[in-house]
Amino acid sequence: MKNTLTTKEIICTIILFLLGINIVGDYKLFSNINPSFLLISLIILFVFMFIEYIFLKKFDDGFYNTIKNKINKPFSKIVGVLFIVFITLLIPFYLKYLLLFIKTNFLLKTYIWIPCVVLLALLYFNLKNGIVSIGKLATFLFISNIVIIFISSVFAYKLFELNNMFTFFQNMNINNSNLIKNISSAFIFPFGDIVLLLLFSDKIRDKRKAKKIFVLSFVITIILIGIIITKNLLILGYPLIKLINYPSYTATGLISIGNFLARFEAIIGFNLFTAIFIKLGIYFYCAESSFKEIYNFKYIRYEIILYYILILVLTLLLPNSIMKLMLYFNYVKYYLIVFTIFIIATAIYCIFKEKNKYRQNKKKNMWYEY
Amino acid sequence: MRIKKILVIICLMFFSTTLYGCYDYSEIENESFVYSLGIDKVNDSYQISAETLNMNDFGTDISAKPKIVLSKGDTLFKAMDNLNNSFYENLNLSHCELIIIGEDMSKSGINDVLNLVFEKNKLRFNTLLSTTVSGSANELMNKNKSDSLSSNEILTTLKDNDVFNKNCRIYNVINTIKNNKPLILPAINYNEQENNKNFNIEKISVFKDGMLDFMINKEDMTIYSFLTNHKGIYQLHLNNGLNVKTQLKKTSLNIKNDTLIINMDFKGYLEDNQVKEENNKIQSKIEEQIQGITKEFLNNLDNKYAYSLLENCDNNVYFNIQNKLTKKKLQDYKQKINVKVTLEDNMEG
Repeated sequence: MKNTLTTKEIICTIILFLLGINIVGDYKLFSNINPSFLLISLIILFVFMFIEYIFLKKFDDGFYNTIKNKINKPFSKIVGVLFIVFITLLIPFYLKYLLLFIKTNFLLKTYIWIPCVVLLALLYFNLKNGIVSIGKLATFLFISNIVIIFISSVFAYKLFELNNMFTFFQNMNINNSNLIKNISSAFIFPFGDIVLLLLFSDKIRDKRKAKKIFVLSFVITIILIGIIITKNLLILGYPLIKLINYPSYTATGLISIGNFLARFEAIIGFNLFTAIFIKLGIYFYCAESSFKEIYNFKYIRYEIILYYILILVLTLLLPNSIMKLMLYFNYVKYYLIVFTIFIIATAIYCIFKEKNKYRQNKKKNMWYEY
Repeated sequence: MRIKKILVIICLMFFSTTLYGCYDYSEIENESFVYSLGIDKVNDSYQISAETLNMNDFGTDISAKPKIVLSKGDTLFKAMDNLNNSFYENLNLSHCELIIIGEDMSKSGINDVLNLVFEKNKLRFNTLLSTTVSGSANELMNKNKSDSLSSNEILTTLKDNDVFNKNCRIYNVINTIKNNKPLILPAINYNEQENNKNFNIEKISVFKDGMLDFMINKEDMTIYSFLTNHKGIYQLHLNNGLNVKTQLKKTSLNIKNDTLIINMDFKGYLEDNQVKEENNKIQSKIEEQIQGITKEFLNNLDNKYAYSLLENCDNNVYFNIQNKLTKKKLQDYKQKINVKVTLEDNMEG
């Protein structure tokens, strides 16, 4: 029971993990051109979560042990290496996104490496106790996130303009030349990294509540993202929402409560900070468990610091603007897509093998009964 | 123990955002707050006029008078940099609520101004945009002879106006231009004769593709507000000694069988009735007058814009009229204008 998460903790963790940078409602993350890709992203999220739910229900050993049992040991090591590459490509991206947000909105003159080192140190000390501290932290931060989303939506009602919604739906026709490029982006971004949850399959305390966990986290995430995007859309309007970098931040900046309280967009900064913190925590945890698998370690303590230093260097090497960061994503996305499909295919293969075994056992039992 | 650890981590997260703020540390006296910007185009170069307060500290006496700081540059960003350099303190744009665009700049296009808002993240997206009736923004800002900020007066005038309070905010301006709709902005002029209110909206500037195309007169402004369902109180002079205040309840627009049906519902309040006219007659007089000016307004409107100007209205009207305007000219539709006025004892607002 030690080092496992309760139902509440895992739900909060998954929600904050999925919210991640979507908490600022950045439209570019869903699609460069069309609102329809938002729906494609959500459908992909649903499919991935469904497969993970079945996997979780069938196996108790964890992802790597299941692969060892169902396929073989070298294959599990290959999967581990591929996971490490996947995580190493994505952590600097998310970290840089957060750092650029801090840089452009709060700390204009501060060197970017200072908050980067502080954040990585926080993540390291937080993960020293394993995944449990991330789970506990997520339950606390989830409430504050909900409160902030609620406050920033309710007090904005005076700025809502229904015409904006009308223009948004008018633009929901897919007829552009970059269809494949956009669908591939929607495939991996912003929810494609949900495959990492496969590594959590042995961390859930009560497996009987797996259905509740997946349904609740999926529904709550969709509702929250729906609220964020609808609010931004009603305030800022459709063409503008995809032109600016942090729509939630800008939209909250326009709200004023009476004549005395205005410009409280900084709270969105806290929201983004916490959501990305949890996301990165999970990424580092997955990296840690993959390293354990590759090197057959039972515990990792100080060795992982080298990995944190690598991430620090990679983050600082990434471009210093959001648009260029999206270009970086376009370079690496094909690896991310192929890897995601590969992992999902592996999970499905394991599920089918288990199902066949179950059928064979059933037949055998029937034979014995006769 | 775990809860304590979690609380410590949360506290650390809060503090981590403030601990490394030393590079961005700035005392309030080292900041120069700009309250409005005037942007002009002079001989292919850009000119920015920034309205700020000139603070003088005479021992216990502190006096603050408005001051206009001027800067020029080949591009708008260069002019902005020069403006930054002309202040001894840090230029702070976070309190800039108004941007006035000069006539020449409006004619050549306002896209550069919108880019400035995107780039300078301290400028807010709900900053109000306005134009000048004629001349440059700098001239208009320098006309203010009082000790108060001219931007404060202009902002009060704009915020009181239901049509412009939303439409000329930068986030709405960008959407309007991007959706290829005609943009309307107030044209401000300085008029000393009105009671204390020196800056007023004299005309409406209509932009197409981000460039000033033509201006609508102030008289037409009232009927435009009626048509687009923007509520407010309007004064009508019916006869000598018979003055009425009217307040729009609701306007609905619809198109059926090539007929543009306009239903307007008003509340009326008798301000002055020296000729002692009967209420029924007053009501029909108001109705006739509003019908007349509405017809005149629709017929005189430029064909190119009348059509899409009606789309520039609030939700109720927009949903009725959207996608139904199939003909190119508004004059091609038959017009049916129904005006209903109810006289009441008191007027809201």
